Amino acid sequence: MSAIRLRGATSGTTDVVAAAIAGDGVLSLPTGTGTLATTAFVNTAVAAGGKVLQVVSVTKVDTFSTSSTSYVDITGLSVSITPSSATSQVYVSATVTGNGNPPSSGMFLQLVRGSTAIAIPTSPGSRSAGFAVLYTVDAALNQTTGTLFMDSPATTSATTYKIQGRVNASTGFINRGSTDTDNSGYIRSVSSITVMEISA
Amino acid sequence: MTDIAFALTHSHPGSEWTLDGDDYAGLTWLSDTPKPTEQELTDAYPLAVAARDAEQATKDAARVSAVAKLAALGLDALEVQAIIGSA
Repeated sequence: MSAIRLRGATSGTTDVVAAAIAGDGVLSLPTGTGTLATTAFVNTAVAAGGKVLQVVSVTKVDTFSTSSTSYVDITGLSVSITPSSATSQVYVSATVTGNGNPPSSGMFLQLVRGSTAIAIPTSPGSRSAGFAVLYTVDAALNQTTGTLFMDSPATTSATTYKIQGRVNASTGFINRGSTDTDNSGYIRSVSSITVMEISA
Repeated sequence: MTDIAFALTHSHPGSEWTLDGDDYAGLTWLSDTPKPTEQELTDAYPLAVAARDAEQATKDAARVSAVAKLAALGLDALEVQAIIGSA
């Protein structure tokens, strides 16, 4: 074993020990002044994983409307990611703007992986399972909502995440209010969905 | 420009559809009933606007009437505002 021994400022010593490797290694110290982190101070379980491996994002800049009482895909709020490992997790971040048609209905939203709704509560009963309802009483305006969800798709195949919407009655609107007159008293907006592969 | 979604909401209540964007080309009809033509929706739009405006006018008139009746009971403007939000 080869080591460099450093004497402590007041007492004790610290050994810098070379790893048992074949060949020559070079360890370059960073410039500047500071304290080196060691495994004694780093949560190695966290440090080993939790890295962002890839990010895929899409922003919807046009409008979408529906009167469907069953969930339908909101065009343009769909994104596909191919995890590099089956143990990776996928962090989904979605921001959705719009309105129902007050006072008749709100716009119900759910997050879907492939054809399976995710981020849903246990025991919704006959209630609509989803992550939010867009509804604001002023028909000229809209609301922003969204969801953050860590998914475990357990696959290395291309996986699609998307937002679906439905109404109980009347019409729901994305990226606009329920009334949409072309003047500054009304709103047009954007929505987006972003997925990140997170290493295990 | 015709607000197709707005026109459909008023002219075809109970029908199910999706509209991708603002144009008729983005309309997908989900109901078993016939899909309306673009011209039918163009014609329906001013009627829908008129219906909305008439509905709003009715609400406005009802509010004015309510305020007048409250005033007749002796409430001043601040008191009316306190109970209905605005006078």
